[in-house]
Amino acid sequence: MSKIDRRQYMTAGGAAVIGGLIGYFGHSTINSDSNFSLSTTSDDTIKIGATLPLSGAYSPVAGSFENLYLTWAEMINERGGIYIKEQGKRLPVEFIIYDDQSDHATAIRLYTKLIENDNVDVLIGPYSSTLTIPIVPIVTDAQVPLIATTAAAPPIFNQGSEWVFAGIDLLSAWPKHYFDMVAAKGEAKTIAFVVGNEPYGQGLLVGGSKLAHETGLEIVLQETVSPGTKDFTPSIIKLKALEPDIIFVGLLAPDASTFVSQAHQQGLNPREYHVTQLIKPFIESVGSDVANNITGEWYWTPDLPYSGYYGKTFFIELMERADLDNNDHPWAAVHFYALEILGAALEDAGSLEKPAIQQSLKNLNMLTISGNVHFSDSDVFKGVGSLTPFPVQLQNGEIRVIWPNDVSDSEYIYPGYNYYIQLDVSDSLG
Amino acid sequence: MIYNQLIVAIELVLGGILLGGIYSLAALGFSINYSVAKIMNLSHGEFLILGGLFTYILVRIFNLNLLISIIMVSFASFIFGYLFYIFLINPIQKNIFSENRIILVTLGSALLLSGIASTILSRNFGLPFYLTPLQIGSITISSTRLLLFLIVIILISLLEIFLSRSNFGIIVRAVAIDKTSSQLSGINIKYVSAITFGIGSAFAALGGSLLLLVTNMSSAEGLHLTVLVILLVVLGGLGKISKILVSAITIGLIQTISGYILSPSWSFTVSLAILIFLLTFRSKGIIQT
Repeated sequence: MSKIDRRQYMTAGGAAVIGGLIGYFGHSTINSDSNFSLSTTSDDTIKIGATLPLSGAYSPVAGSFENLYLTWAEMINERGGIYIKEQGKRLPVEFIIYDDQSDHATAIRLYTKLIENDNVDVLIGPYSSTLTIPIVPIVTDAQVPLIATTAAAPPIFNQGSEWVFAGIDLLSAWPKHYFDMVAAKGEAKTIAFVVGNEPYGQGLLVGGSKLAHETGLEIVLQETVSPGTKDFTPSIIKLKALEPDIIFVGLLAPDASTFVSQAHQQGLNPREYHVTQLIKPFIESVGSDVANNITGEWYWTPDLPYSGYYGKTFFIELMERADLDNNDHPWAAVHFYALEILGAALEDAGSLEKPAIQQSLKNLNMLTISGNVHFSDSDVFKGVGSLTPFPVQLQNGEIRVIWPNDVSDSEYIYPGYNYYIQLDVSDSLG
Repeated sequence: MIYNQLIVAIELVLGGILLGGIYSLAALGFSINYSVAKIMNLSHGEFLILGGLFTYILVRIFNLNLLISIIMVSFASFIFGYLFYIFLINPIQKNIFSENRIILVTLGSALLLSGIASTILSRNFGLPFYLTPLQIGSITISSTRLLLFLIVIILISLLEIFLSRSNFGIIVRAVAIDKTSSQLSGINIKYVSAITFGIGSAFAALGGSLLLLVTNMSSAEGLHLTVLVILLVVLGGLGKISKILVSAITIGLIQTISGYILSPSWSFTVSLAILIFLLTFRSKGIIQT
């Protein structure tokens, strides 16, 4: 047996250790326990706690909402803060934001820390249903109000919690306006669903199937796939044989773009693709020619007529100051609802006592930038908001609201999917 | 009804074969390093990802031509692979137990390269390439996948010719068979192995770049890809590089058909179950030549 050379061990071990460290920090460049707060550290502040995916899988989609929160706090403080009647004055707001690394175990730890160590007055929920679901028992036990953001899966609201509220309706109600529109148009007869086997996709499948059935559409396929699926050939072959008029794609944007581009390459030719995450990364990945006339769902566009709690111009200025573009970050509006709801509930409660804030939230009925919001209080679901997205369509590179008629800014084009476009190979070669 | 089922069956078989072509592209670089240079590069998946990532950056950010970008990235990967061998593999390949240390080094490098890739671009990326699908009666197949399949057949043929006909190819094979005798014959083992590893790395980058034309990638998927190519190599057994195409088509067919019958979510699980079965009962692979 030869002696293992020290230098060789150093080479091998060093590469592994350095690789491990850089690999780790490459994925999580920010320590999850470092907080980002707009510092106004006196006792007379309203402390708001939140986590965001500043690293990890969700960071490209929601990491930059840190700027949204901090800039909102800055703008509110420029106005003197939020008026709290019990104290007879406006109090400045302080945001404490941690990086949950897109990981639910980290989110659980950090929300516990926000409650127990930071003693926040109110919480804003994390990004996604997956991270919000395990937070519900924690805030419920601690009796701290939590306003959820981009999280609308039923398990968040059927745990009987009296402390969790969300601006948006259940995922199952998401496509409500869309199916109203399809029914009004009355041309589509069949539909197929391709969804993820995670809370987002399953919520859409349950709600979408029910709404499709009520609309009179025949459901020819309900295909469930894992997030990160790299080859959709089996699903595409099924769909080619079934020839549905509409393919409802309830996948996260990266998977949706893989599916649509592979389906296009393999000659799948529906009359319409409905992609729930019709967002810029999807459009860029698929290509704007192929994505043209694909329908989707957005919560807010500048053309919507609602002024909201702070005024529409406040939100537009906030987005500008936070360096966020609505086309790049269409979920920003949903996170802003939470801030609108928070501001309204605190002013209405007139107190920083948590039961008072909770009661105010329960009774709230207010106008947001996307319409009126109030919360359900049924035996099955508690705290569900009433906002649903508006059907949109990518028309010549522009996102257009196409339904309902009173808010739409463009006609719904059906059949819209343009399979027969002939792309020049030299164009593809760039 | 029967006609429609026949069409579906034909499309499934064709889809599986073409998927096999794509998998071959992913595995070709690994196969060169493993079958010829006898190096199990566990960072192969990251070589694929980085190849795809840099091609994506050149095309989307620097607006370079796709073909030129792929050639540039493959050449850069050749140099990177050459230096990787000289500075990381060669120093530890001289002793016994070197295989364990190579695994440690390449695994550490995988984490390092994955970290670099996610720092450069943390979101998914892809360059879908659209060609008008090929229509034969009621059967439609992807021309893009057909093109990739033809490319992989050409690449494998060229590699086989290079290894069996060219002087350098014969030297590479001699080194793979018996390093000591080759050294006694005056062959510079370090140089030949470094060049071979460089070629394997260039093929990995080429594979990664071409994968972008049919699917999305992300910096976190390197290990997944490495597992997939190990599966292909184990299935094919050691020996000729061309075996990789046969094993890749086998896996492509299994995944496509199981994905159709069960769900695409089960495809990879079914493949892994086959890998475990093979490792248990047929460690030399199922493809005999």
